[in-house]
Amino acid sequence: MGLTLRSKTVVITAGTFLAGQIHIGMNQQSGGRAGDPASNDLAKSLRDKPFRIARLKTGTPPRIDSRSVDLASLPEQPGDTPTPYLSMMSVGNEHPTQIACYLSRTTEKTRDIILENLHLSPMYAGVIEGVGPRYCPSIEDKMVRFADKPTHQVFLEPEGLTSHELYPNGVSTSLPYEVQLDIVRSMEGCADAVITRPGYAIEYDFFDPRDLNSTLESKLISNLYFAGQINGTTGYEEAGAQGLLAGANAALRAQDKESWTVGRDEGYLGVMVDDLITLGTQEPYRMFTSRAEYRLALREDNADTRFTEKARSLGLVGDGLWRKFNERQESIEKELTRLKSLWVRPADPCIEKLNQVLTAPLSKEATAHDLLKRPEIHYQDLVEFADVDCNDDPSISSQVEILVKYSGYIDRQTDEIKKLKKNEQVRLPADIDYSTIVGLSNEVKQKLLDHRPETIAQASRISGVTPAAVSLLLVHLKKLELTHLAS
Amino acid sequence: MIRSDTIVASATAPGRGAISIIRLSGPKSTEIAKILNGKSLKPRIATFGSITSNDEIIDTGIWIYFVAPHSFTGEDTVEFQGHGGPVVIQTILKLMTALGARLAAPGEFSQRAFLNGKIDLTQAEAISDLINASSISAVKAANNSLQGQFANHVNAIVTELISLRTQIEAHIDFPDEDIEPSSIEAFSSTINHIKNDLNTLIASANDGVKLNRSAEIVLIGEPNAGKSSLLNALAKEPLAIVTDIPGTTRDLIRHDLLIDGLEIRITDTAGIRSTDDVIENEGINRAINALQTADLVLCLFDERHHKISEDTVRNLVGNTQTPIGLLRTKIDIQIEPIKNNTNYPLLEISAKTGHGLTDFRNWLLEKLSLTTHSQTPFLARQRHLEHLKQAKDYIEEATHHHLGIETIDLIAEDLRLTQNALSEITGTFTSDDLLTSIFSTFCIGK
Repeated sequence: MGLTLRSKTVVITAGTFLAGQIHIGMNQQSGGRAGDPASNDLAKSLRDKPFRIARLKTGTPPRIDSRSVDLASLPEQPGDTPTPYLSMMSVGNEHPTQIACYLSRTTEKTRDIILENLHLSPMYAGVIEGVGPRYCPSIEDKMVRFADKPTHQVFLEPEGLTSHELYPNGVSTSLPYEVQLDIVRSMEGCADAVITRPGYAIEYDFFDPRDLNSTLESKLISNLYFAGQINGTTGYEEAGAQGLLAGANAALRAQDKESWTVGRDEGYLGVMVDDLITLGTQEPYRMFTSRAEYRLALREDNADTRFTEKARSLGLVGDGLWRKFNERQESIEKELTRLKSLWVRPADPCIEKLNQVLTAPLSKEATAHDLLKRPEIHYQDLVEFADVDCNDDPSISSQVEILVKYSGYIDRQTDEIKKLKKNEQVRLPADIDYSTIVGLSNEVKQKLLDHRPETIAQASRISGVTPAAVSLLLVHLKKLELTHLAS
Repeated sequence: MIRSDTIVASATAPGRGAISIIRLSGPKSTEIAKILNGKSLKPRIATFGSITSNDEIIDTGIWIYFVAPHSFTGEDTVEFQGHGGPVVIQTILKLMTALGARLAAPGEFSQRAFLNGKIDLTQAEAISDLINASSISAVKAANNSLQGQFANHVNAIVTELISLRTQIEAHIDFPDEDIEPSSIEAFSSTINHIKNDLNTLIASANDGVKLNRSAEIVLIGEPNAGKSSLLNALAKEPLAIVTDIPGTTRDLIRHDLLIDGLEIRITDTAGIRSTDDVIENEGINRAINALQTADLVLCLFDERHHKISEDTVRNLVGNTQTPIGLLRTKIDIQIEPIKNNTNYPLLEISAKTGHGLTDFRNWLLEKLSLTTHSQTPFLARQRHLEHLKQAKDYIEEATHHHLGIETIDLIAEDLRLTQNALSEITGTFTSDDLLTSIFSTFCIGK
């Protein structure tokens, strides 16, 4: 359009649009997603910069008209009750009605159709060069890799309250439209199904995330931030979380404020960013809880405790939420103190009922806090048997119960985190010359050059970097420090 | 300071010296010494005392306590000067690790000293060399410990653990996928099974480990380069058949020497040359295998060589991590100096006249005490045992839970820590490796 827009900081969240190539059967066309053009000019201008660029692929299933499916014949999959809310400020009545999903399944016929038509799949015909994930993203993959599994489940998810479209979660495919129709119609309850939009596979550019800092700012061009699929990730939460981090940091930089980073011990966002910038990725990166070493500390129920204070200091939390957060923290603290001072004695009148729940009868006096540590005792038991006053707010009592029950594990992880913190704080200078470090093997030198870790802790997480190599790095850093002091 | 735990190791070279020094460094040093000695130590004062366990005196000797920062490492340090002997030293190390010390990593005392500013910059390179050399020999000692049945048992346990974790983690991460439900009882019985296996392994792990390891040297060179003569001169008795016909040495000839208390095993190899002789070829193969596990490989060059390049050396030894030394032999025949165009050290000797042999022995001692110091198979096995015990403790915690939906994440955590402990023995197993296992076992993906 010939317009020039100027900005102090820029965040690129290009999704699958950068040089996007859509595949349906053997047909391919340029596109960012169904119905939208690809961003080819941006891709081209970025390719002229010294970024490490590669291709990934992802896919989407065909959409189905819900009126053409025999939903009544399929098992209903209702949402959770009570409905969980993302924000603690939520109140039930401001949320829309929840509608159910349905569970369909593929059949032996589905498998036959797919295996017969495999030569028409661009993935299997070798047309797609981009790398897909190790798990089975497409129905073709499922049939090939797990050929002896007779049936696969397909969740039919409504696209919205006002839409007739269903998203058949589990049958992402890039086979030709006619084959897609046969596949869908071979599924349970879908004999007469109508496809509203075909599924497709898409290949797109992504930028090696090892070229990013832990703020998601590019190491090669300052004030430029990347978030989402451009960094090699896949998934809504992955993209959303990066958008928050990159956006907040771009805003902080524009105001000349100090940047914000998230540690592996603070949130899944921290785990993801650290994995990406330290190890890079060979496939579309998705967050799994098993990637986190501090899974027990990274719980949904304590997300507010982990982030609200920081978010407040960044200006991302308003007065109302801040007040509510503080009230809640205070109540939890109070309740914990109360349980510690509440004694239950073997002579108490309630003891008989309590002993029925305990695996071994109470032999000496114990606090309610101690009792709650036992696996067989729940907060509700204390209220019922041990004459403990009920705390009215169920979210407080459940938080207290988790904190007490998991305390051994939480303490252990806290110790582990503290130990690692020391290595997190030892920074490796950006201009460090690994080739001059005595004793490092060429393999380790090459890995450190490729990954350019920011800290000793990051270096130690790179595969092949041995504890001895970490020791050599520490000695080298000390040497640099001494040389610096001497000069 | 980067690390703040307490480390322990023998500070004197392994061997048969009259005195051995065991050094503790870190915050728990004095506490451990007090428990073993029975009374507290006064700073900087040498006290006669003992090391006692279960009312039995293990050794008597001198205790010295150096208060931080006035010690070699800059941390609180305690030294015990005892009566040596490999068995006593290992017993003392075991007692100290049981009280909370950790066996020091290669070069760790020096590393701490350097990081705490106790050693100046000029020595930094030496520290790097020490860490590097000792870590290579530690890896070798560990590999030797990890041979045979022991390794098979450890690997079998790890395989079973990975399969269990794959099932449990898949349950946690992919609750919506139709994964065939493995019964909770099956998990429980596998956990017990792994725990029992670990117990059996720990109980039997001390069997059949040599307490001390000889330093191993391999002699290699072209036929008739004087390997056998050198060996005979060092051993002071004829071992190998020494003749002028190339290819005389067809088998590996080993001899154990004791030089200044250090046990050295020297292996003479068949002269490297291509040949059609089946027996001699076998000898060459054995030579190549022997040098991979050695502490030092010595390449011999006689009067036929005038200069040595990197290629000359690589032609003899191939690609190996083992440290290399060069030896000019038969200097009685020709005294024209040889040109050394490599970074490897070159020494000159004559086995016939004995010229250079003393210097050579001294050089050998210095070189070998650097690499073999405190890296015996016993210590390697001790480290393995520590990790096995940790693994057992973690998996035992997993058995304390009543298995169910509510506790599955706690059990998963115990199993993760179990695996981490075992990874110290078998090599890293990352969360990404776990995901690969999950995706190849279950059909997952929406």
